[in-house]
Amino acid sequence: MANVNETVTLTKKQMKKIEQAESAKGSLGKLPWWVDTIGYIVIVGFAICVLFPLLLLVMVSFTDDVTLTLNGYSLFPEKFSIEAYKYLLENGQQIFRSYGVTVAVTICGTFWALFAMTLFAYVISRDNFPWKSQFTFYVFFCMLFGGGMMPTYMVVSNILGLRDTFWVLILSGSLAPMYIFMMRTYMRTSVPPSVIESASIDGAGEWRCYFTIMLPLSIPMIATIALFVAIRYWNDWNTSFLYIIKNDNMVPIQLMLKRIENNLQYLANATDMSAVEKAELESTLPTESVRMALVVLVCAPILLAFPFFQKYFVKGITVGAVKG
Amino acid sequence: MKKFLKDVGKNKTRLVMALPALIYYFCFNYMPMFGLVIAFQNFNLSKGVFRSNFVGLKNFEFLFTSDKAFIITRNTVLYNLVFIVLGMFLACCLAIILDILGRNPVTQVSQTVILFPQFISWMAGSYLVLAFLDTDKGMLNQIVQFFGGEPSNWYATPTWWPVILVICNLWKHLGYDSIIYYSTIKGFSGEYYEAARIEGATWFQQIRYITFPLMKSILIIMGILKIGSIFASDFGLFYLVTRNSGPLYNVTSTIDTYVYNGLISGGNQGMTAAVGFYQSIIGFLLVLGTNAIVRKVSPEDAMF
Amino acid sequence: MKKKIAFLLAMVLMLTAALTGCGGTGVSVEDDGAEYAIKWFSAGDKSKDHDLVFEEISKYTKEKINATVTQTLIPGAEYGEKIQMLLSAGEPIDMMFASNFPNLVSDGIYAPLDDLLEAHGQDILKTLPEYVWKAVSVEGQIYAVPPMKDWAVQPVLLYYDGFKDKYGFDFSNVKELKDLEPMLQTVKDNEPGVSPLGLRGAGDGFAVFLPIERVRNSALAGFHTDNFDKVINVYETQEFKEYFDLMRRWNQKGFFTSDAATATTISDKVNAHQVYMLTSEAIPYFQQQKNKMEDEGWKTIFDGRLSQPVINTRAVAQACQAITASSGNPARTMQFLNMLYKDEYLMNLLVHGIEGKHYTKLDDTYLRYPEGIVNRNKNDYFGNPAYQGNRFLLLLNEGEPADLWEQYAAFNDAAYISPSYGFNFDSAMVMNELTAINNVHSEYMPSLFVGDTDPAVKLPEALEKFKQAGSETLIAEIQKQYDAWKAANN
Repeated sequence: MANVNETVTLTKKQMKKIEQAESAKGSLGKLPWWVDTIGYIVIVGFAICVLFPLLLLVMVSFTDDVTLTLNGYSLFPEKFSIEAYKYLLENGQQIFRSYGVTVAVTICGTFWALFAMTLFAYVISRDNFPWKSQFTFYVFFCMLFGGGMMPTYMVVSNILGLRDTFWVLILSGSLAPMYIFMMRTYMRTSVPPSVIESASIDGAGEWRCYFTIMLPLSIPMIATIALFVAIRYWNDWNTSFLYIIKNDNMVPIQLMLKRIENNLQYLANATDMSAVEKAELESTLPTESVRMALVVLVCAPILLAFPFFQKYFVKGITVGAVKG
Repeated sequence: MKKFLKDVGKNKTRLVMALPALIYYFCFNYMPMFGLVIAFQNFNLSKGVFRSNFVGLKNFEFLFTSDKAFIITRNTVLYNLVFIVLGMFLACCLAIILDILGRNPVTQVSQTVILFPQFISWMAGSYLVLAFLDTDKGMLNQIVQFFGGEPSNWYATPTWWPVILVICNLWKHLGYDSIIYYSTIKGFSGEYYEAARIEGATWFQQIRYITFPLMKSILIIMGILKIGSIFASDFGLFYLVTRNSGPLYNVTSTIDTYVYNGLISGGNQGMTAAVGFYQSIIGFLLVLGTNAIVRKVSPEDAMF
Repeated sequence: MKKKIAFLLAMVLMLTAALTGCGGTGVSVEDDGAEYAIKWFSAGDKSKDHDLVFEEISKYTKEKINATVTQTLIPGAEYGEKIQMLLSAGEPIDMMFASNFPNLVSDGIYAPLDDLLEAHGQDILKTLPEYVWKAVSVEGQIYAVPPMKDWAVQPVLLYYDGFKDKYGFDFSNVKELKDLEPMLQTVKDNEPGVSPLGLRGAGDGFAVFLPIERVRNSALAGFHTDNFDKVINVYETQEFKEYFDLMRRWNQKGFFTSDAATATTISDKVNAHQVYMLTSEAIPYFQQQKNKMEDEGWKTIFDGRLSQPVINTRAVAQACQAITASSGNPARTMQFLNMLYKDEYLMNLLVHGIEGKHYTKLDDTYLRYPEGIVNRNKNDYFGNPAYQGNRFLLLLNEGEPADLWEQYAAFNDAAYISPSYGFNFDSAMVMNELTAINNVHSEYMPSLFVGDTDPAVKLPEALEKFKQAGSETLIAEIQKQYDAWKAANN
């Protein structure tokens, strides 16, 4: 086992090296001042372009409804109002429940997806596994072929009986072949096979190799994939739209947003509705600022949590790319 | 056979480890595949998959007959091509700039910020776009009016939408892509640059003769991988961001949105399945081709 | 070897027989009397106390017909898509909101109801006037039951009354749309910030006043009201051409809101008094409308100068309930449906909720909602009376005229019945054409309807695109179905 620990520290050393490389001045050395200036203008400019719509959205959600209709969207509204958030809080039962569902699904789902994907990647990353290419193809085939929406629906709701359950939100679309392949490539190239081999010779079983060697060594990649998986769960409205029909306790926050969007589309396109019915449906829709406030609530957790992940994230991709 | 059993015995644990994913893919992907037959059926709801009548390739006909078919295919492919080419080029530029500037608080904050959009769904993103393009209240019309122009109804004016869609796509993905390339650049050994500087190379020459050649392989690989999904469009971008606005269809409908609109207005499951099947086949061939090329270019990056 | 093949063949034949055998047409009217749980799927938004109310309903129906009822509500915008999924997945459904009416009939989803109505639905037959059945029949068989309500439709102009005295408008001379122009011009010139015309995009706009009737589920095909024998492309008519020209002129004069072609909502503008005139539909007592617009000075023109009340297929067939062919107990389901047409207690429970909790009964005619409930659909329970049962059994809100239901009935009686009434078009055969045409329609029409684009250029272009998309095939198919329907019904 001594061998193993040595390798682990070695990799840690490698990571430090990378960190140092990153913290150094840019790899091109000293540059003319105007190149630096243009660089800063471009990068900061782009960052502002990215941030601007988000800021605008936040401001709109804090704007008074009448002001909104009269003056339009503005970064500096004439009249502020927290009515939208108050409205959401007062009618908040569903929102809190939906938030709860989304959070629970994101956490549980991420654990499940990582567990299943890393295990599978571990198996197909082993060179002496006899069905390596068959297993790979088995997964790869799913990347392109599926039964389509309706047959999948039939299987999930009739044969598996998962409709209206928590599990369908966790399972449906959870394992992405792409991530399995990324994981496998990482395990194959960044973790020296000799480490595992020597561990096996020392009598460590597969599970032990997986838990004590492979997982710790793959953490940057796992963190990177974890972030993506978590965000997919957070943003997923399609699964709940299809499979949550009767169970109001399982409506995630994105589905709430989707329903409002649906109603707006319906208003615009339904040919079978009378004008009176349209007016009625319209009266049930939340006002503009409330819609914007809901969008803010949907986006905020990701954006607030992200900076904490970011250190891992960038390092994850960095290490992933350095592998060659 | 004997060897097989022996292999199973030897790899017992590994098989167990692979089991969750194996079962998952069986349940969620392989079991529903029987439904591919719907693409060849005149699907009848009460008869179901097993008893509906077969109609051969009739469901595929519309893909090749109507002039819409040309437009939606053109839109899907062209947008994807622009996204790939422009996206890769700009992401490279950003990555190089990030690398030039090195690590300091300004670039670090910028790095974080430009990654944000990647994590916002188009469901929410469509509201951001609306805040700009809304006819009465939108930012853009306010600006136009401020300079004395006439406000226009953006959601009914197809002219600008190719640009708008490209901007939206860049807004969402550029930051993330640039971080990928940035980390690739970070992976190159600093010795190359040092050697070049000793030889007296300027910063521009370093980029031109060191960074670019080194990035070539990852660029090719990324590009080819993306081409594999060129027949599938980002549904959220083309449906939600455009608010499915009819007057824009000529420049915004893609294969996916066209089929979806057909499905909700009339509900033809056969047609939907046919298009899905068609996209799968094309995608499959493209990826197989892609993989063959990747294997030639850099074998270790091939998927299988 | 031959034996084996023969055996296999026999097996296949048996299997096929077993699989198709169960698809018989007859639906049993027999009822075994054992307790049954009716599963009902309908369209609408679920309110907070929905399950509670249905527990109460089940208690009542258990006592009356030994059946419990659960209702699953699917938001209207998703209903069509989701019910298809549910049906294809074999979800047990007894009764459902009959969306996409004729198509699902040809798919064999709905049970034929003639015998069932005769056996268990006498109150329905008694309540509903004879003519409604035509709209929900296919080849002489009834497949769905419409609610008892106001079927007649009459497009109206809705205008803000505050300007009438200010500018001395006189509506008595208005006979056609173009007579409105001077008033719109006055508003445009004198009221900055107010658009003379407000429209929700993608609708028919002011074309509802044209002498054109469309075939349901087809935006393109219809009849000129002078000739109900020939199915035509309505956009090829002189009326539409003139209408588009008029709208173009109005648009260039700046009468429309700037986002007219694409706006999905209009109420925020209406509430902020940013529009002067819009279209709506008449219902006998205007204040029934949630936004209580009349209180705020909105008036309508609906004395028949611009349009007549009419009963057409769409109005009757759009919101029915149907019993499925796969129902475990169609007879009991029909008994329950029947109760909705005679049982006041049940109907009020279904629409208004539980007495004492969701409303208080003032006397035999009126009820009052709890403190602070302005909109009925903001109550803890809210059932949609337009979709289910006999509306005329309901208690009225305070302030509504006591004879409201009589007014509704009179409104129905005053309407003329369209000659095409009862014709339902089954689009299954021309699905590809219809999809393509709908796409062309969404692309060209919203802009033409509000004059955003020049009809001299864009209308011929759109008509050409319609042709390419198969409009002639579509119209020929509708004509064929229409002729067959007429031959069978006259």
